[in-house]
Amino acid sequence: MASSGSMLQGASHASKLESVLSLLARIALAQLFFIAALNKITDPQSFATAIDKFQVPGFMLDDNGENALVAVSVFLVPWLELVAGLFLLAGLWTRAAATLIIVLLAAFCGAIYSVMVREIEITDCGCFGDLKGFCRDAVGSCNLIQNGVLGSLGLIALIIGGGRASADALFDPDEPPAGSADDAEDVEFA
Amino acid sequence: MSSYLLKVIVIFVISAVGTGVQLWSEWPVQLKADPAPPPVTTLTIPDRPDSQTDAEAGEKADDAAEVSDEQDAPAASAGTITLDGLEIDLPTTKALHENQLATFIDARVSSEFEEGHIEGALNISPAALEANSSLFALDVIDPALPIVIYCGGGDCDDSHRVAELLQDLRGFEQTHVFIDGYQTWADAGLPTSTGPDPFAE
Repeated sequence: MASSGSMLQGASHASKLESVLSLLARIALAQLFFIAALNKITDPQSFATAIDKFQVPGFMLDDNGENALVAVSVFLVPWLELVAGLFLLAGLWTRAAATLIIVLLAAFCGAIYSVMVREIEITDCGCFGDLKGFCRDAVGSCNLIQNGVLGSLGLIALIIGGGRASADALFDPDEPPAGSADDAEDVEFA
Repeated sequence: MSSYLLKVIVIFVISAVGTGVQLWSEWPVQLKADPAPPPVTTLTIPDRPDSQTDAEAGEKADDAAEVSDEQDAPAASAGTITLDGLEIDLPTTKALHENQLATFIDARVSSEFEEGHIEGALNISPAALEANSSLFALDVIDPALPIVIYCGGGDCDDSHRVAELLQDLRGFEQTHVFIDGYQTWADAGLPTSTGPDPFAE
């Protein structure tokens, strides 16, 4: 297990470089997801309107503003972002949290791609609630790239795990026994 | 691997609990559909002595050199004005204003209104409308005419909110937002006035 690469390594056995990479990726992702989540949690209506504008079949409000899938997404998605962001920041269950973040980003990318294909113009993607992210034009390839960058940060956390500066490193049951072969590679970064 | 899946599920469940708490504290939760766009209307410019026909447009364009696009603007040509969609542009708004075919509402706060507003506009801010849905100014609005709402332009959202509120609270359907906002109007040298709204409370 210990010899099969970082994917299966315990967090405290990541190299220094890996630990720093993971920490930076986790901090960057977590703070962006905090901002996005808090904006959506405090203003569900804006997020509902944004989802509605994407006109994804099954995810459209009827005239009374009702749709079960939209209603569930409006409240659950920001909480997932917030909770997964917190876990990621703490480095607790890092890979599980990173997985959820990547799944969310993939779902967002799917929605963005679908409006690009259908040539629906959406000026306000609702990605960060009322705030505009890095992409100020209509929803399009810029948002895909933005999510791709965020997704690769998530992949870093998924592949490396929490690294040494993480809650996982304190009590990771998957941690290989001390003195395993992986310790040798730490030397070059020490 | 099963512990990994379990962790994913636990994080999911914690999020669901957060969702539940929020729903419980904010119940009843009522989402609104995006307001339906106002119906497409075509207004005929009335044949008044001072109204602007196509022939006069050229002469008048000299007076307001900045706004010389009457001839090009489909909205102002051929004696009719077509209102299609919630948001309308400067030429359409200008045509509505000079032919007095719409009620103008300034959605900004009263201090900004007093510094300068589109001539003849009423001052109804979203905050005022939310506080009191039976503002006296609303009784001045002619329900037969379209309503044009504006704010500062750019990113300001107040005009959209007033348009929504007017639809929700008072059932006005013909609400349009002059998307460029007051600054563009003033910069184009179009009629403005200053001072408080006589109908404000």
